[in-house]
Amino acid sequence: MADPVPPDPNPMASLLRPVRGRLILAASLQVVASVLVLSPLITSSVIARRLLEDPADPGIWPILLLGSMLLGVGLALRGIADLVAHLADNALTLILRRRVADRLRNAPLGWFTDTTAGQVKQGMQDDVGALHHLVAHSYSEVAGAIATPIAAYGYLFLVDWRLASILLIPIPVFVLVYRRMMAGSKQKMGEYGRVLADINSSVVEFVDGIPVVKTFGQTGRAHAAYRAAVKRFTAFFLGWARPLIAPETLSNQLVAPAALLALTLLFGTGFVELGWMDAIDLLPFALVALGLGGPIGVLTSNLLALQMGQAAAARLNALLQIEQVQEPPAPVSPSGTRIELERVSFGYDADRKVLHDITATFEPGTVTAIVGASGSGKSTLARLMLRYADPSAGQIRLGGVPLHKIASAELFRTVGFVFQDVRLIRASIAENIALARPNAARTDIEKAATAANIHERLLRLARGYDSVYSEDAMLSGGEAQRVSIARAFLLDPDVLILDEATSASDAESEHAIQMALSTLVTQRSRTVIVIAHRLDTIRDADQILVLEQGRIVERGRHDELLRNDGAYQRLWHAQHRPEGRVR
Amino acid sequence: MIRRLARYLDPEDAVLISRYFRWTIVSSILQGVTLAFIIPVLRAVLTGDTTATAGWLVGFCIAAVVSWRVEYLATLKGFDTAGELLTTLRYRIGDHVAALPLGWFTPANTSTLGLTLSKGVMDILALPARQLTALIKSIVIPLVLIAVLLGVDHRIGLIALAAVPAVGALYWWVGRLGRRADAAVNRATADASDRMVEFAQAQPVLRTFGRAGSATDHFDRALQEQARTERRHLWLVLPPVILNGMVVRLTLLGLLSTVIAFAAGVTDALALATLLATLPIINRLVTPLGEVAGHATVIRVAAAQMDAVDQILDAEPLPEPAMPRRPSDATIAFENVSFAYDTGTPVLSDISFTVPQGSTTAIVGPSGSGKSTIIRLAARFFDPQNGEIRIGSTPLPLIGAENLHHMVAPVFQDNYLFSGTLADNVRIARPDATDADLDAVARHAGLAEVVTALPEGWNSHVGEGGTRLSGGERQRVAIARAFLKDAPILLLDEATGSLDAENQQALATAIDGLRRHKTVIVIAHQLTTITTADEILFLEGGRIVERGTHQELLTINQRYASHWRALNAARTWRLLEQ
Repeated sequence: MADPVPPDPNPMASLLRPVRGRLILAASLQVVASVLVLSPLITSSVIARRLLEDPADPGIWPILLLGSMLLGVGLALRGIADLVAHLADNALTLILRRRVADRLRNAPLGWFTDTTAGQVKQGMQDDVGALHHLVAHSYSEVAGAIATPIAAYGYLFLVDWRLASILLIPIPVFVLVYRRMMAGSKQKMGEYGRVLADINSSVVEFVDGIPVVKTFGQTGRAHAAYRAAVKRFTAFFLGWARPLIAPETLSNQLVAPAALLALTLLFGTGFVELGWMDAIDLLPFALVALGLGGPIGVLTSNLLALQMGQAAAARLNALLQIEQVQEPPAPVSPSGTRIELERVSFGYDADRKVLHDITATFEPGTVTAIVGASGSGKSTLARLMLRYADPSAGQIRLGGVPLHKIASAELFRTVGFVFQDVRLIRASIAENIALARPNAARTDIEKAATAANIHERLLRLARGYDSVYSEDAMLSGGEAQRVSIARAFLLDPDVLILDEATSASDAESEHAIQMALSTLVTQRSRTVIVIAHRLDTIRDADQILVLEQGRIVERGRHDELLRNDGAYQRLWHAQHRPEGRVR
Repeated sequence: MIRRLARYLDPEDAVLISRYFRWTIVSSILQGVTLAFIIPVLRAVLTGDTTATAGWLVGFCIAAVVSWRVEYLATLKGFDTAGELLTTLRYRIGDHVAALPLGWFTPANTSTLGLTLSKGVMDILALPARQLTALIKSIVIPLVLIAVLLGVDHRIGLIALAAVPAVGALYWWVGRLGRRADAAVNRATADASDRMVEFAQAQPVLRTFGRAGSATDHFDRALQEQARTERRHLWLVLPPVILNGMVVRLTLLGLLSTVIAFAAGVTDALALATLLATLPIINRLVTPLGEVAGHATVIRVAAAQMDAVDQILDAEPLPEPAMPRRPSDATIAFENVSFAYDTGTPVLSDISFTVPQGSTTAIVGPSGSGKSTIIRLAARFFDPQNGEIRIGSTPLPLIGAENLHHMVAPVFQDNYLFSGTLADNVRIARPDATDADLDAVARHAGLAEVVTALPEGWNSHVGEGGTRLSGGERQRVAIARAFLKDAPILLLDEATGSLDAENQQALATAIDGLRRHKTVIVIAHQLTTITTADEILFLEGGRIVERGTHQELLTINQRYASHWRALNAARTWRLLEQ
């Protein structure tokens, strides 16, 4: 079913491939621009030299103009580089969103849970955001930060190679100090992560638990635990960070203007004294060399962005490798609407089986109820029939054809469902009801809503059926549930799987839902499968399957089962305790 | 900013902040002065004055060494302040919220509190540790250099001085432009990602109900539309990005050109050398100005965190009586009570009722009618704006928190368990309870079977927030707590919507046992709880619209009666009954 993809050795490269050309263009433009924006400093040095030789030299004006123009060109190129990078980002975002949407479209329905919704959100918001920063900003900034010192040093080497070489000294020293500082930090980082998790969880505990603790007058106790965690964290944090201050200050000072100035002035004046260089040649060094620390800062901050981008790319890539359900190459049409389960077993993973060896038949025109304690596998069984996942063993057939040989469109035309976790989408109410038949006439939509007991309520919305859900159609949980029942009325499927609604917050609303479900089930002859929580609800079902820990332990009609001294009887009695509860 | 930070520290430590501030300013001035030596040294070298060069170089070296040392010490001062903030701020917020009324702990407030205590504190302490230092430096150093320029050549000094506010104003404007663009883009992005999540969550519905193609095309069009919107936003986003890079470069060009214009034609060697020597100073002066905007952004983030801290610290605890009074009995009385949450819309209007000691009052009504606010007020989550609530004829504010905790046992819907053992979690109701006591309450609360099923029995860990237990099991723990506490007043929320039928029944039985001989206010959902209550209050829109016993209310056949019929119909409904 799933098409296994080998893990990508370089997720970032493959994610960025579609915009690689544009990124390279942006970075190259940025390189040229970074060199050009240095020109006013360089032309100023040249002009200074000329003025010293001849204070009235008219040749300085063209040079000043040239410097200004080159700066102008540099700034323009920089703007273009930004534009190209942002356009690349825009294109990439669309490509990524579409690719994710494509994978989601063909993922098995069982994949979609609250956890995976969180993953999608993380991927779409945070991870695409991290990539945005990388694509739109980091790459060209890094290119500029590398090009600037190279160009600056290149120029200085031309002016005086000896002094320029001296000015290179702080860089290896900086790297050395920085490395040593970071060397111990990897292990400390891990420890920091643990202490941080510790303080965060005690914060959560303190904050969430405070109402309970307070109602029982035990504030002191939770408080003590919190204070202890704060103390531990502070002790670790200070113990870790304090010794780092000295090397950190040192490494910062190494590349700060003062240190570079010290080298320039001390060695420069010496070289001038020795006659190795002209006095005026000190000026370009004082002008250009002092700013070398800036690009280093840009590099270190973008290093972090790059790391975050790598992690984001790995997560996005994982999202792009969700397993996919294959459509049958030669779909077979089911004949009839009988559903047969033959020795079906299922587990989300190998050692945690949810369903064992389920064999059952659901005849057209009958109602089958599936009952059992929570966690017995009722919902999983229902979801298998909608092909949320394929069974790990055994077979499910609709009209004699195994589910995986039926085209999904045909399957879902035949099988409809009403579940408790209602999903309305942000579209008009009419569109929400008519999902199954986008071209349905308004009268049909209204008829479905009327059958679902929600028509009157919808008419009271600001724009009636054209109100958009969650914008100007604010519906309560019970009302949303009835809209989803209207959906099923309009689809009018031959096979209907439904979840008995447990109590909505309002008795009135709850009963309205119940009436709608009753109508849906009895309206015409279908194959109906109900997951029931209250046994009263389904005592008239044609067949009741009792599930216990993933196995069918009893089956039959209500009266028969009640006579059996078994699981059904126990459930029934648990729900119908003697009413002698008057004080 | 400094004063706000000082407020977070204990008074005797507040001096740390001002000390840090002074050291940082001195350190920045020294760094500026060190750079300023460029002018005399270069001038001396350019005019070939060897002795002057040597003299100025010595001065430069001294200034550099002193400024390095002072910078290190200032960093240490900043770090000391950060360390003190780290502890004090967390303690102080913790102490403060521990005294706040229960009503303060709304989901919004607790999530802000959690974020503030974990991330917010770290952002704030980065201020003295880094951010503020960087900002001070990038403001003070240019000012020192301008002062030096004024001394050297007042024309250049004045022009530079005029340029600073202009650059500042420009940055402020660009920053505002940028923030506006960011806000627009963030909204669009959030919108797009919401759509993606919706698309994922709605997959089952879209695929089962949506005809292949139609719904997905719709979504693809939405994605493309989104991309177009984001592209349109580019002309909002790009100008500030581009302008940001241009301001500093153009200012630099302008100032350099000015100096060159002044220098052209100057024949006096010393004067010319002086002018040329100011060129590097101008570069050093303009560059930090470009960094101010970036530092200010980071500081704005921290300032927002400080706002959150202030908001928490400004929340008022409920007043406590100087002389707590113990109520004479467990009768509860509400007299003309009205209440509104912060939003101002009244939730309860003019509520009066009395629950005599040992009787049960059931509150019934549609959702949103104010039922849970009544029991929260009875537990003094808040004080009402109007009217009075009394226990045994003593008004709640005069009883005192300690006495009230002894009188009232709440069983609400959100049953928080803290990580620790099951026994710890029950014992919170009475820390000195014996093991035998625990076993006894477990039997009554239906918790005994949970204890037996767990591998380590009472000593099993429940996980953070009790996540290792199911909803029904957590509810039983809450009931066991109430049993163990054995307080004369029971405040009960019966809503059990999330539980399966068997759990609901088991809990109903347990709650029945708990209710005996107590004064009870219950938000009733179980039919028998309602029918056996001594008085029923039917609530609608925050008012008591009907009151009486079940039979009386059925007889008058108004709102309660129709509610009851719906409830009854819902509970006895059969799917196939037509």
